[in-house]
Amino acid sequence: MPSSNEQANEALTYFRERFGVEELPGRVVERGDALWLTTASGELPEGIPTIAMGVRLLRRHGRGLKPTSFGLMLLGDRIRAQRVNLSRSELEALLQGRTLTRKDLPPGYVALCFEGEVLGCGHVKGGLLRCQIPRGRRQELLTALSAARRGGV
Amino acid sequence: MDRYKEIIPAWERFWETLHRPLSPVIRTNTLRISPLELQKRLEAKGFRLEPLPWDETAFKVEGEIPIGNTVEHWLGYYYVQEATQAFPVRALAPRPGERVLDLCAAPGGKTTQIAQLMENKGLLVANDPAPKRLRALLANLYRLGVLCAVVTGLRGEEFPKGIHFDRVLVDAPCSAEGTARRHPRLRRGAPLGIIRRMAGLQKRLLSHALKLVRPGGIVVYSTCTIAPEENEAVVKYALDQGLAELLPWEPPVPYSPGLTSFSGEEYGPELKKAVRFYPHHFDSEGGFVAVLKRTS
Repeated sequence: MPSSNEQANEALTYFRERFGVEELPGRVVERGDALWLTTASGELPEGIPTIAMGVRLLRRHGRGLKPTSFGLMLLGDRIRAQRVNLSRSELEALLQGRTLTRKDLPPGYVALCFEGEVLGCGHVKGGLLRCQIPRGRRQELLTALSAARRGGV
Repeated sequence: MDRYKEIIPAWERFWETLHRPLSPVIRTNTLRISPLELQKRLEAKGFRLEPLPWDETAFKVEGEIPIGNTVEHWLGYYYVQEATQAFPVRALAPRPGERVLDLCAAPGGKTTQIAQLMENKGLLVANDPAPKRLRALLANLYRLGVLCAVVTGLRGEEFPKGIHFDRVLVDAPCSAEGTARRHPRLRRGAPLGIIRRMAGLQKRLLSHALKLVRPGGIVVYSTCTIAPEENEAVVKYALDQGLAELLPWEPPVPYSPGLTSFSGEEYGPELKKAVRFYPHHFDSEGGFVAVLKRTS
């Protein structure tokens, strides 16, 4: 399980340049096609197959990196740039798989936010914003928003 | 459950409690939010929260919508965890910086609780062999922001030696009779065939766990069942191997001591140090906890 300054620098440079993150709350390790953030002290002896180590932060995507929604949620308030604040109706539209026209946003990955909370990853291309949160998690959030409406909040 | 009439104190009250609904309990994810802040946020959404007197991070909750369907839950600010289910980790008492193994970790309620007590510092190995349950474990670890965990998918009784863990939790698969308030079919008790099959696996798991912990280290064995064959009998089997001693543990709620015998089988006076929770003790589910210390 390679863990080196190189991976840490790559991840931190990405988050600093794209999202204004000054510090990551753990060390970065590379596993398969992803960079993971972990605070685990030590590793398992060789030969023990590991499924996960901390939280997957970035996936290698073509020639670039793609932030994960759980990774962005974890970084939360550390994210100072590319925060896109959404109204409830905008959020629901994105979670339903629709796009939003946002010519004001630069292309690339953004942090989708609602009521000050970072929810996960979005992507802007050609002035269109799409949700990158995994489908199952999207559905759970839609259910929560709908329940809140029924409960009057 | 009739076969437990002789061992469960205040049987009528026990039986009556099994037929009453159970209020959900949530545990604050202190890695992400304080209990006070969580309470404010949920009360602002119309929930009524009553702090549990023995656990400053936990609340009994009432509300118009299911407590698992909120944005705060989605964000990982809390975990819905029945009150009895929090005691095995309290008995384990993990500390920041330690090496801890959760041998049967899915779906992750106790794993995430361990990570909270470890303050995300140290090495927490979360193991479970069932692929479907592993997905739930991973989702909960990511949702709650657990960074100190390494996840493995091995059979618990074959988990490789090589790390001398400070603490191991064996929250074993069981017949789940203690959850009869949520699963009414269990009010008649689990079939004896299932109990016997579970007991075999539980003995293998606990015996193996004692070989994975360092000398002086702690193994907590827990179930959510009432069957003595899956509780005291399993602990006696492990103690008979001479690797461990049973430690006394005093929970902060009413409980019954472990049984010294059942249905003609002798477990010995030592087993009184184990702890049995019954639903009528503090309006909860049922469960069993034993704390073992490796001696050699």
